[in-house]
Amino acid sequence: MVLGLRVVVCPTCNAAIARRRHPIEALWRWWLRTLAAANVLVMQTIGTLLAIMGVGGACNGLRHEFDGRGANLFQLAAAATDERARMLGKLRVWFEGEGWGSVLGWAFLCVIAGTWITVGLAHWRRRGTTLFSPSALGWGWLGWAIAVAMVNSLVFGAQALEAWLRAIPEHPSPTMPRGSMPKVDEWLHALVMIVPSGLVAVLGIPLGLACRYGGRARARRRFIKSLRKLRARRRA
Amino acid sequence: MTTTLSKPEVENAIPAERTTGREGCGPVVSVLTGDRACVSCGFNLVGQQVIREPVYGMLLVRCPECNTAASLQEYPLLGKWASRWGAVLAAGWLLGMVVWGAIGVLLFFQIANTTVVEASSTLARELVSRQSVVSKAQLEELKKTDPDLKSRSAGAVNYLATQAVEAYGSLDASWYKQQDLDQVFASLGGWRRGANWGATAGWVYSGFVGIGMGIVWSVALSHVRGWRLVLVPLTLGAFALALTQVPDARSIFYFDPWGVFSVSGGPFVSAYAAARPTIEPVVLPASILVCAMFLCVGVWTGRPIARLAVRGLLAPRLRGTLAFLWLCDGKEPPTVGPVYRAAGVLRR
Repeated sequence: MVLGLRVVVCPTCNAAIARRRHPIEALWRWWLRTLAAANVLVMQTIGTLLAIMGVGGACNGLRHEFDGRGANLFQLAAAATDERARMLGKLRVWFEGEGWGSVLGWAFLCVIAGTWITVGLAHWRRRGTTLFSPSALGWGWLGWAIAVAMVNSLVFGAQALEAWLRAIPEHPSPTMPRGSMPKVDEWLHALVMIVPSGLVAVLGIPLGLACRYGGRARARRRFIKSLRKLRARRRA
Repeated sequence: MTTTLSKPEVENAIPAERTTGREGCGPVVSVLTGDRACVSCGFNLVGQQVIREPVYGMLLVRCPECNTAASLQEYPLLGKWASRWGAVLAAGWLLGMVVWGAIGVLLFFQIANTTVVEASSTLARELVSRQSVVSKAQLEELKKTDPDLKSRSAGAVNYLATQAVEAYGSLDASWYKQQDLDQVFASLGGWRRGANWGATAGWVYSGFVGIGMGIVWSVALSHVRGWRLVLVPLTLGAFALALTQVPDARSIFYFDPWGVFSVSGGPFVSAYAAARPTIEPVVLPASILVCAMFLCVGVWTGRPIARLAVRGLLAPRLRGTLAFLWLCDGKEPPTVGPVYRAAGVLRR
């Protein structure tokens, strides 16, 4: 016995080894565990990407509607009182007509994203050290908002670079259309839209916490059930 | 056979690499991936590091609660089926890598050829406009003698002269043979203005593809470290370049979304096919080089990105099977939580 283990020593080479399961069985179990981990990783990636790109897309859609009505948030902030009232009037008309669906869809996506941050990143365990330092949930929320801004900026950069490169020749190519150069103020406007999105996403956190609690209770019930089955089998 | 050991000679049994830097502990070789209860206190050992114990060279997991050594073992395989299954899995893995490499080469080939088509467009348009001028002059000559053409309006004659050229981008083969392409290219402004450099816009999106493929390569080839990873983009680039030298490779492997090469044949030549030989020698290798560079970026950044994704997205108890992402770069895999180690643990 060495270190409390049953050890077998090769008399020729002195290699010390101990008993274990059959390697095929061990490999099969390793493979199943890897599959489970990969499955979770893929689902987490898809969920997080949807939370990022869904909200990013909804922000851009809403920004497009605002820009179309000359109610860019920057212009709203900089406009005189009368002008601002006129812009808000246009927005109100749009909202009362067809716009409420877009706003509702955007809010729904934000709430779902907030729920996902709470459920999908539940393994983030860091605690806030002071009253104002973010906890795991706060870091998740912040990380998600930064990711939305980064993806938005990346897409803007790629579009701008493509449009700039396509604008080089005098004769535009017949095979690929020439894209229009995206505007910087539109990009900034889309970034500003992330702030209200983040605030609405906070509404999803209680829902996510409820899902976490429900999931934990379900896991506990399943564990107790399997324990009872095991005991019954042992008795039998 | 169970026996009590005297201290053996184990210097050769301890690998020198993959040390964690913790004094007195053996090198970390893996992470425990399954749920195992400690035989002494019942603590779940999932996520604990598997180390090679320095005295006997055995694999061990220490319980962080009570310091008991958990029984992990390796032993020589006596059965045949383990090695057979191992060979099948290795062959499957190799096949998968070859297919993934072939997909990469074909993607390089496709992107490079699409860039060439796009870059040829300026010269192709110039050839088309010159051909339509010649066609109009020929029809005007014919109009003087041909009774059918005489009755037609100037607009209709113009339409006849230009439709074959401009609508289909087809050039008269006999006229094309008389042209000095180098002179036409120079008259357009040479490489500065004669090539459509807007074609390089396609490289922006090929960058995303190249980096994504590079990440997969760097994770799949986790046993390769350092500068050797650069061999992956170099090899794929070399194969893609070799493929461009194969006769008729374009007609077999290139997916031609605009059909610009399919309209040639007989007395006609496609304007793109006519412009291609001038543009191809520079733009094709340049495109493949750019793709290889993006792949190189993906290969270099792949493992850190994968580690970041695993840390951020997976719960600690699921990270064990992916510990190779850390071990392959000589890093210490993340543990489940703060691990208690009693003084003198795993010291001689």
